[in-house]
Amino acid sequence: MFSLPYVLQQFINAIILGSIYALVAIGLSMVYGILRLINFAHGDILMIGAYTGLFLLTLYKAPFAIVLIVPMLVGGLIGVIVERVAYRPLRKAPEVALLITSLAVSMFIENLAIMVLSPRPRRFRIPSFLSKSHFYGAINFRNIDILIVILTVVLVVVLTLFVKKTKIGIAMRATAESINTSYLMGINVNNIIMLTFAIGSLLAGVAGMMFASKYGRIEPFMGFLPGLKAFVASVIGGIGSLPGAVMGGYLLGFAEIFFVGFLPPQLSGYRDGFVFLLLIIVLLIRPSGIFGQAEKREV
Amino acid sequence: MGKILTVLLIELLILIVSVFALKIESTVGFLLLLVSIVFAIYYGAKNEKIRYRLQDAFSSSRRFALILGIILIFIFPLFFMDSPYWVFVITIGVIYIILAIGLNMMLGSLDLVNLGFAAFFGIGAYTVGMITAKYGLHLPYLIVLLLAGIVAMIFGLLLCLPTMGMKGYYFSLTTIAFGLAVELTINNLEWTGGPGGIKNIPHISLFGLNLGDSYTVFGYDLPFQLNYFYFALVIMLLVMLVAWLIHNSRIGLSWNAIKEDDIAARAQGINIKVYRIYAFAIGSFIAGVAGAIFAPLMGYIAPTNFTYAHSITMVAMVILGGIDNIMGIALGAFLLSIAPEKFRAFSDYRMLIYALIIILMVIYRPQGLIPKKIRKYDFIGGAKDE
Repeated sequence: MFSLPYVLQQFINAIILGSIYALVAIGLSMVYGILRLINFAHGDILMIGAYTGLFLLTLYKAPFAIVLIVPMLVGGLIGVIVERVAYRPLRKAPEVALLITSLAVSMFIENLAIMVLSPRPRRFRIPSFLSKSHFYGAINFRNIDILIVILTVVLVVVLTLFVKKTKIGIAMRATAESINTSYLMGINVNNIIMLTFAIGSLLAGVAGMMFASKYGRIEPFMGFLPGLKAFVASVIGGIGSLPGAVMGGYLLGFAEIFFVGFLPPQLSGYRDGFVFLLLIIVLLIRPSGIFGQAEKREV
Repeated sequence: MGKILTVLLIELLILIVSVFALKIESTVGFLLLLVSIVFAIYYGAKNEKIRYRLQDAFSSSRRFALILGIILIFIFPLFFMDSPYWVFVITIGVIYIILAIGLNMMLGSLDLVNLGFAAFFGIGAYTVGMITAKYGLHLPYLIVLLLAGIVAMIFGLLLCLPTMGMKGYYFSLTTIAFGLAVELTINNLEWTGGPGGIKNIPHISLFGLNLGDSYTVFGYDLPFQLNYFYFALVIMLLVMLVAWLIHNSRIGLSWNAIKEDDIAARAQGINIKVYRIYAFAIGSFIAGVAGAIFAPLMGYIAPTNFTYAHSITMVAMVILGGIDNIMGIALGAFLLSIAPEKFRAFSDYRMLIYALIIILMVIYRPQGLIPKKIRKYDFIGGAKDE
């Protein structure tokens, strides 16, 4: 029914989409691991990253290496500011207060972007050497797609090594285990939380660049759906776990592409609906995800 | 006697200030008034002496305060006879008060942040639209109203069952998904009119009166919007009464117990599932009823009336006014539904301002403008709010 090249092509698409989801999900999952907070504004940092990239490309004609690095830094910076201004005053507040604040922060950034950047979608054109296509029979992909996948793999490996091997990484894992105990061990918890936000937002910033390069079109609300899907991805993988977030991202990428690619085209309008159906199913069957541990609660 | 006078003066003051606030033409003037109202409430609540005197006055002449308040609310729109548009805006405000009270059953009483509440509102409105405009059935309006509530309730239960074990983020994100799914479905289905929505929804006719007609009373021609205002007001008062009764019943107490600590509540023998079902059923029913008033008032409904942004607006209303306090919620809902009309020049930044309000409220005044009352108990008898 489906030819082999078609299947391979869908496979490649899924890997590219999955890479982007994985990068966004990592930041979301790491922050949740430490603060038990879903940062709704995470998707909006992706949007900020994309816009930064756009301005660097069009206004300053910056070389692409810089266009990759600066949005990362800007994203990281915004993440730190959001943490400092909105979340730190609420360290001891109930979970619902955090939830509502993070929702409001996301709304704030989106609407500020509308005000400053206009709600009009913009075209995002990447340098020609990146948009060059390779054809192998019926399969085709562009240079940017290769870059997305390679960059994701590199970032994930570096981050994993960082978290596993360095002293700061160990401190991060300790803080995720228990904030109070880490505090007693002499870890500066506030700095660690800030660093976690910075790293997560850094990845979101670069994911925004990738997202924009892949779809060629950006708008102030572009972060909303990827943010939600990253949440679904990290739930699938087991929220709070780094390999879980990566796995979840790729699984979601595959699920989504295969849903669109192999089911009747009338259903493709419900693509986003399908993602949430998946979320509900996962939450019903295995709420702690694939790699996650069930959360214990002390009474 | 002095207490009754205090109550009378305060309530008259509130009436005058609100009429004045809506009549002011300049945005800056309105802004100044709004800020001074917020500060007056804030410092009034902080100052023990003033607060005690007011509380004493209101609690010792409760019935008088209530009846006077209701009378004044009924008089309120008569100040806007010259501009039917304002009567319309106030009516929308009343509908949002109903919605916010419904949302509070989940958000305030149980700490379940429902981010898809506008979906129930939409389902109620669409039920009315489908019955009266699309199929042209001539059912008595009160039955249509009831049906709208029931259909919304069925969807409420549909959302309740799969989310039964969820709390916090999982719950909120699932409700976002639910809200988006409903919006997406009414937008895509041809049956519901797609993005074009439903047009020509007939006016409500009730006991032989058509709410779309303008009636003449004592020589005054009353705009038809006024009929809707009074109808919505009656429903709002009923909803408030029900909400108040529930809050003071075992159900409200159990909700709050679950909110504080679900494990402890279960240890006390409270069946969490049953109480969650109650919250969803009642809350979504109320939202459906609000939709049933909204649809004939507008005459035209479309998926854009019931979006994620509307859900967030409702959450902002409850947070601003005061979680789990009916008066507070009414205040928050009214302020936020009137304010955009006053800030026409800034209407593009409405969501930005709402977001800022939520952030500032959660950080500096998490209990809302009018905080909820603490339950107090005597040794004999049931729950009583002081």
